[in-house]
Amino acid sequence: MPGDAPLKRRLFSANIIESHRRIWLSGVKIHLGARSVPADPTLPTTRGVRPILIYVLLKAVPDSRFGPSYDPVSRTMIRESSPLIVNPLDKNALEAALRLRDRFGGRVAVLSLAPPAAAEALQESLALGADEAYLLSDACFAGSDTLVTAFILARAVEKLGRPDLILAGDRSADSGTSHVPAQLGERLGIPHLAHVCALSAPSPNVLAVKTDLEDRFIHYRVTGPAVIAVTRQLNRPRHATLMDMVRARAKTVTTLDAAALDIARAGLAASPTRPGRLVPGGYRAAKGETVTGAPAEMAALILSRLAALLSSAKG
Amino acid sequence: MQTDVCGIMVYVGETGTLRGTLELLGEARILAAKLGDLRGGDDPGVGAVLCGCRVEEKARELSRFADRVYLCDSPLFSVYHPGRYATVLSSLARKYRPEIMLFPACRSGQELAATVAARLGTGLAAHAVGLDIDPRGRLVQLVATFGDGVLGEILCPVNRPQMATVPPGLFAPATPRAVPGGIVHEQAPDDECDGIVVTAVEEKNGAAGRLEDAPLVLAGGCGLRDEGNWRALEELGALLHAPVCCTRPVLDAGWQRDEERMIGISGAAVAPAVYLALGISGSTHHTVGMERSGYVIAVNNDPGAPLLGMADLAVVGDAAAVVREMLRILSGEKESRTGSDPPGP
Ligand SMILES: Cc1cc2nc3c(=O)[nH]c(=O)nc-3n(C[C@H](O)[C@H](O)[C@H](O)COP(=O)(O)OP(=O)(O)OC[C@H]3O[C@@H](n4cnc5c(N)ncnc54)[C@H](O)[C@@H]3O)c2cc1C
Repeated sequence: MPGDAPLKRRLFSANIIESHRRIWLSGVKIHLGARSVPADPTLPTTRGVRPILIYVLLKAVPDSRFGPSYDPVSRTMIRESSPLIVNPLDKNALEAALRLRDRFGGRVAVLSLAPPAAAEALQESLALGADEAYLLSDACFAGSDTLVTAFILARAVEKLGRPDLILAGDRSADSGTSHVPAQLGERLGIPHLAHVCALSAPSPNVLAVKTDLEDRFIHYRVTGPAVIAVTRQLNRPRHATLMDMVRARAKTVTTLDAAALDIARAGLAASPTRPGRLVPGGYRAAKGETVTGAPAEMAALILSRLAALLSSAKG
Repeated sequence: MQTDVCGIMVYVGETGTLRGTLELLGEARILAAKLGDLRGGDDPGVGAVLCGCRVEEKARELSRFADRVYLCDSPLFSVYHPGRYATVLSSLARKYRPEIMLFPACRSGQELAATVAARLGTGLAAHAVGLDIDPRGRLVQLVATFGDGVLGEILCPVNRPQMATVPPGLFAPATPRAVPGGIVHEQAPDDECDGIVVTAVEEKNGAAGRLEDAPLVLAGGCGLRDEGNWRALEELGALLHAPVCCTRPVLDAGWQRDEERMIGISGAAVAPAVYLALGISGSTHHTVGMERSGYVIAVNNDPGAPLLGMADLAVVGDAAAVVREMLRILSGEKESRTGSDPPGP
């Protein structure tokens, strides 16, 4: 698996892509042929095939390990206290993209619609091996709902070039709507599938995927380009080493604003949904008894309570 | 109720329990009645959309709970195909112009709702845990916000339909109507090729029991401290035949790998007879998913933890130690049952 390839080779590969990318960015159009990427010996090579382009949608989300940063007195969220990280499932999407790139040759570009603070998370995706990272950021994007988010992402895709595949995490850890991948697919007029837990690609344009619904799996054949939203069962994402991080500093995160994307109306004003008031979440009333004691005692108490409650629930 | 329009359209998931569907229809009925009251008794009606293959029987069952059932019965719908299902739903929405469209917040429901909303160019609220009609007749959807302890209202003031996905376990199921509603047969769409072809279906074996049917749910949070203790909790779950659920950080840490087992605003909602929470603080993001439980037992070493305040039995102590003691007692019991102990009285 490319993800487990020796680190040195991964770095090497990243370097080659990086140097070509710089040439490309400075205006000289060169093609990243399959040959510029060292082949993974464990996989069939596909030399001479047109280089592929994969976009990965990335969201920066508050790190849940820092717990609820909520001020119970003012009843507001203290956002500064939670650092932004790459949404966990987006790393599975990136991992899948990197493996396909390493196999077929080409490049992986990460797209994120976010405030400037997300640049750090995008930088991490470069360290993990993405070739390019684009931050779609503009004050007028603030408050975009999922429909408008999909519209902005679609515009970026149209500007940057039609891909062979778009990969995304199935749900974000913060708002978790799962809407954006499907809505982006609709906007671009290409097929889309969510909840994908296994994926294989006989060729860059034909994917065999398995989706995970609550009670069954469904296997589909998808002809790309398509938007595929993946679950954490898909793969085990690689980790960036400190060296990867340092090297990625040479790559830059490109910011695209509303003008660059030719977007006149976005954000809250363009969104069909509108946030209303905040209302207290209903806490269940406390009616209980509080006990404390040795763990063995507490365990016995809980078990006897369970036995009583569950037999009466049945009867 | 007119027959050429449908005020509230409910998508009946292609899978899932009847109970979840009835909850959606029950809530839709309440909303329709509220709209009716605002309009001098002109109830806009509730329609259920059912797609499937040979599902006449199910349609008849549903018609006891809805004013109308829109039935799309065709071999094309023998397996879930998102593009095809979305085509039916968006064409029905164009035909009957509902003001409100509700979807179950299951995996296929979320995907379909997002697709249909994009096709209709309208707004969609995810995981609405509360629904209401405001004095101007607009749908008010309650969803999670970043702030703990508060829910946010979402409105869709201009575009129609107003759409929401609704998790199971939050609303009271519909009660049967005196007279069953009508069944309207809808044309299946042409089988347009959208680049996605079903190649196989694999039923999940073991069907580990539905979360919403479990009388006892165990749930663990960060207070379990490490993965070893989490495994101990899973062992306890196996011994008690109870599903083991979690909070979001536990899922993010990878202790629990099954997304369906995260309880809360962005996960599942449960209402078991007993909810046993170990090392969970009790942020509202989590508690909206379990507060309808019959009896809550919480173990936390911080007497000030919000969940202890909500619990019927609040145990102040170390969660991992309590789990291990419960395991010890239960495995001792098992041994004595199978062992050489003298028979009981
Ligand atoms: C938009 C949004 C949506 C979210 N959706 C969800 C959701 O759907 N579900 C969800 O669960 N979370 C969700 N969250 C996260 C939520 O805000 C909380 O961060 C999370 O529920 C806390 O999980 P926890 O109780 O496991 O961890 P913590 O809040 O860290 O609590 C750990 C608890 O364990 C106790 N503890 C510590 N040591 C011990 C010990 N030795 N023995 C016993 N107790 C101990 C502590 O006192 C503490 O109360 C969401 C957050 C956001 C911003």
